[in-house]
Amino acid sequence: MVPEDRLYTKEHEWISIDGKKAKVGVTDHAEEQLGDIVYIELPKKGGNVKQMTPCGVIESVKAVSEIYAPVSGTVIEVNSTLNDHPEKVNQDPYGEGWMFVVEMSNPSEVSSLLKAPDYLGLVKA
Amino acid sequence: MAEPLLFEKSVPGRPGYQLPTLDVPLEPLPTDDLRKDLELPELSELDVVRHFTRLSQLNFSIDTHFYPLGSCTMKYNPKINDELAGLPGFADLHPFQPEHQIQGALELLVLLQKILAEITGMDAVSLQPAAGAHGELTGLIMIRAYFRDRGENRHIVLVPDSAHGTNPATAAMLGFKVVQIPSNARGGVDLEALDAALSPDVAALMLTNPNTLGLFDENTLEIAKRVHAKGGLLYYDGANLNAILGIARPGDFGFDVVHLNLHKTFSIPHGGGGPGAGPIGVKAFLEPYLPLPVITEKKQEASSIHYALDENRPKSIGRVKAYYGNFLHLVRGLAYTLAQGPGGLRKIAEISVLNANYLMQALKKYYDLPYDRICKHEFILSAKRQKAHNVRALDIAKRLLDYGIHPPTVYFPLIVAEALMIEPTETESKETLDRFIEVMIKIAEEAEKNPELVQGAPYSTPVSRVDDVLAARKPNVCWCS
Amino acid sequence: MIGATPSEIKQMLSAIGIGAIDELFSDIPEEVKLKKGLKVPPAMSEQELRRSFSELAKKNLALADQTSFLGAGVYRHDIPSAVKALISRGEFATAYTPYQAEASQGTLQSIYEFQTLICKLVGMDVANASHYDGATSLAEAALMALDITGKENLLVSRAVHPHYRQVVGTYFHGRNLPIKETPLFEGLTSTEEVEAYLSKNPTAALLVQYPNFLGLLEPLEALASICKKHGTLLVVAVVEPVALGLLKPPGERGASIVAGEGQSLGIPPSFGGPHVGFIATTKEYMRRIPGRLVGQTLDSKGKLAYTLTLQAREQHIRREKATSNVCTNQSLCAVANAIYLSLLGKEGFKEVSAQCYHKAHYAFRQWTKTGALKPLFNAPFYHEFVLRTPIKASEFMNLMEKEKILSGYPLTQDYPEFGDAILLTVTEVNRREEIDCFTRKLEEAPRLTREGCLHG
Repeated sequence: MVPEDRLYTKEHEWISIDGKKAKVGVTDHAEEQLGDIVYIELPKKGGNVKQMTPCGVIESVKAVSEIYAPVSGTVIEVNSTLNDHPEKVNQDPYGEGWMFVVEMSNPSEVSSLLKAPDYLGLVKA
Repeated sequence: MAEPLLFEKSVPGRPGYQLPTLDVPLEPLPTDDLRKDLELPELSELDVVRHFTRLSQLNFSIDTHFYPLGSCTMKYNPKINDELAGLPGFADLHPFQPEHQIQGALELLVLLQKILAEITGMDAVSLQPAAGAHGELTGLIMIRAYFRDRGENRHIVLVPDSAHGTNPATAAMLGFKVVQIPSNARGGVDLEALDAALSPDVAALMLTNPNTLGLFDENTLEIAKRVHAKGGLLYYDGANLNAILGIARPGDFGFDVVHLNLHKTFSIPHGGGGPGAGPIGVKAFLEPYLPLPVITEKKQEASSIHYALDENRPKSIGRVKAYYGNFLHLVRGLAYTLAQGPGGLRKIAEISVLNANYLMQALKKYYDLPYDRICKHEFILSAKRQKAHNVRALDIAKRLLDYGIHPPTVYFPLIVAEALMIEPTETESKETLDRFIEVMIKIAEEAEKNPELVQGAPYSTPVSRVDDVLAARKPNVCWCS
Repeated sequence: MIGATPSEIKQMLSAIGIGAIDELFSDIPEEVKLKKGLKVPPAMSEQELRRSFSELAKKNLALADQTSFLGAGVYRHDIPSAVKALISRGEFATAYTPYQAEASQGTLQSIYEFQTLICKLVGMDVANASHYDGATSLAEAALMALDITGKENLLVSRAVHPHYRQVVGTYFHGRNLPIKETPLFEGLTSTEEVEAYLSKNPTAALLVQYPNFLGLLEPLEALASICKKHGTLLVVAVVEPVALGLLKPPGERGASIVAGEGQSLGIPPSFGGPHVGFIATTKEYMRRIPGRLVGQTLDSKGKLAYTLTLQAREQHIRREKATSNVCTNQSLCAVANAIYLSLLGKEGFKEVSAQCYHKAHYAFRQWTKTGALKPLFNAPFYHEFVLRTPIKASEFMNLMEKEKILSGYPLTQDYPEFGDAILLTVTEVNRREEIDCFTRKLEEAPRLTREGCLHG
């Protein structure tokens, strides 16, 4: 399942854009690969993130994966529900499992992201 | 029935230990520094003995079960070794006693160093490191110090993709950049990839040989030549030394540093995760960098030798552990080695390799064998075929417990999907191996005909399948009343 | 120790489809194969081993065969017989790391109990499943502080055990990280010096020992508040955990991490190892702690169970991104600690702790009264103290050794600034007669008699 209404990275993050604000999460494919997610380390609210550099960590029992920032900017909101309920990423990766919101410092970066069919192609390959 | 925690069994006022009456006058206490309460359990000696005896009975162990755990060399641990380590002249010895009071201990250490140097083909040995990963740390710090002295700033460590996790973790811990080298189709180091990765920035290649696939890398001499040609050093992870004891020596392959796991190859008990002992051996040019202290021998009159602790070694990397290594384990390791002699050491390799090949041949009809060639002391099966029935390596592992066999290592090395890594060791009898074969075949059948049975295993252990996800999501690592 | 008989070996070879064992080694290049046997001593029977090791052991002088006031990081305490009896059980001693939880509940629950006991003792929320030893635990704790604070400098008190300081130094130099030693004032970590350093240098952690190497009680609260002001973590090494039967735990005095040694809790001196380290911290830093952790959970039927948890921190999963490279812990020694603490129990442990204190203070008073040995410091101490010797420390110790007295640890090498001084330790196993005998020897000094104290 890859919703059409957002963009993707090669590292399996999704991003949903609303003006200068970009909401970030990981894809269904990513959470399935990891299995039951047990812990998520999100970037700090107010901190800066840089496009395609790691800004957080997702852990399952037997695996660890980094969260890459799809775009550069300032983190203006984080989904703190995930601290106690990391399983939400497994249950609803595109909805309640969202991770953080970035106020983009360079919106033109968006052009380097993948559209849904391209991401689907990447996952299937 | 579950065994309650110590704290739950505690009864206020119940003593478990009696001290002699205090034979000196009471002194004033430092009132500002006193603690208010101390939450320790209160139990009788019998309560404590039953508690821990019952707990022990919940374990699988070498003394009770076949334990073919790959890369861990779960051989029998001879009881004499424990008796010798318990001698008061060893156990009741303080590391800071004057040198002339500890001559026996130092003599013992020097003898073990010499034997391990001979077994590995190295020039000098330090017994300081407490475990394998600690040996790796020590070895890499020495390598760094050596290059620093030569004015070279080599900051990359190469690690094959089949390596133990400790190899990359150790290198990274010391600030080295880790570059992974892929394996070739025969399970060895891919030489082309190695060439591409070699550069004047490479400090060392860390290699386990036989590797974690249980395969001896036939290109070992070529690998050594190429790494050395670019000025790099070769580090030997001795986790799998059991397979080549007395047959060949890492020093002769060209390795510059080795670490050994006495708790694997040299039969010291694993203790449920430790303590271990991880001596390192080095070629002569690295000897000045060995950790402190180094034991020296001085001939005295009448052919007696005085052993001394040398702390004054300007090029040494310094101390890596307090005192002199895990001494009592070194006593055990020496006793084991002396019990073998040259013939016995070789026999260990021969029979451990024979046992592994025997199992491999018998099981390859029933499980996927990703590398079908003569193996060393261990081999890898893949549960790919069983996965088609939704039975995974983990399920097979758990099902083995129902048959009273400790599972092989699973999901390692990472380069084989659904890996089952099997190491029978030399101490197991043919009946045990035959029974293992029988059970593995039975589980393969079960996986096909009754997958739910295997997926739901184990059924006969003190607890059924443990919820690791819950444990990690809501960590409870300390009991609070 | 070989399982197979010659005829079974034949059967197995034929099942594999080869004629001789040598064929199993055809993948090893001929030029490196050993042509002759290894040059190691010929095989010994169990009987011969017993004889030969007894002879080696006799070349050492066991502590029990003399009067010992030697401590300095390794302590003699009475060990109830049940400790060795229980840890010698094969089910504990010959089990592997409890990765297969269903087959390892015994080790797992024991370690969970160890973690809990350590937490209670030091006043922290989380303790790992043990580590190599106290010195390496302190080094790992320092690296952990770097990771938490993102700062690089490390400040280490000069009153930390010299071996511990050196091990931390090796770990840090190995990584090219800066480390600075902070001087003492009257045997204690100088708060002024700490303040002065931290106010100028962003520092990850201050490392102190409690009670310190010289036996003195460091002003932890004062150090903690300086650290807090500068965003530095206070890391406290506990080398003698028996002290915590009496003393306020470092967790209640502002420590962020406690790194310690459990040898005192049921493990003989063992010529320095195996002993057992631990690292304990607050809930906040739980995920930064290196090494294994056991957690409570449920099984698939809802029954209480134990398992290794938060493994994603560790090297076998995170590889080059792990919190540390550690794999092996000191499980069996940790179980010994748990057994020791539960046997002694709340009252027994407090009593041992108090007896050490009273005996040491009695000894201090008696020995200094003779005038032969002079105190160096005034700060409160636990069961160790520093005294200045009337003659060269080494000469004094030699004289005492002739009387079968091991008169402590000479400080000349590690603390030349103290002149000729020795560190003396008294625990609950030192009888009053031993203390009084040493007093008499001091009174008689320099005219020492030939009779020993031990059997007096």
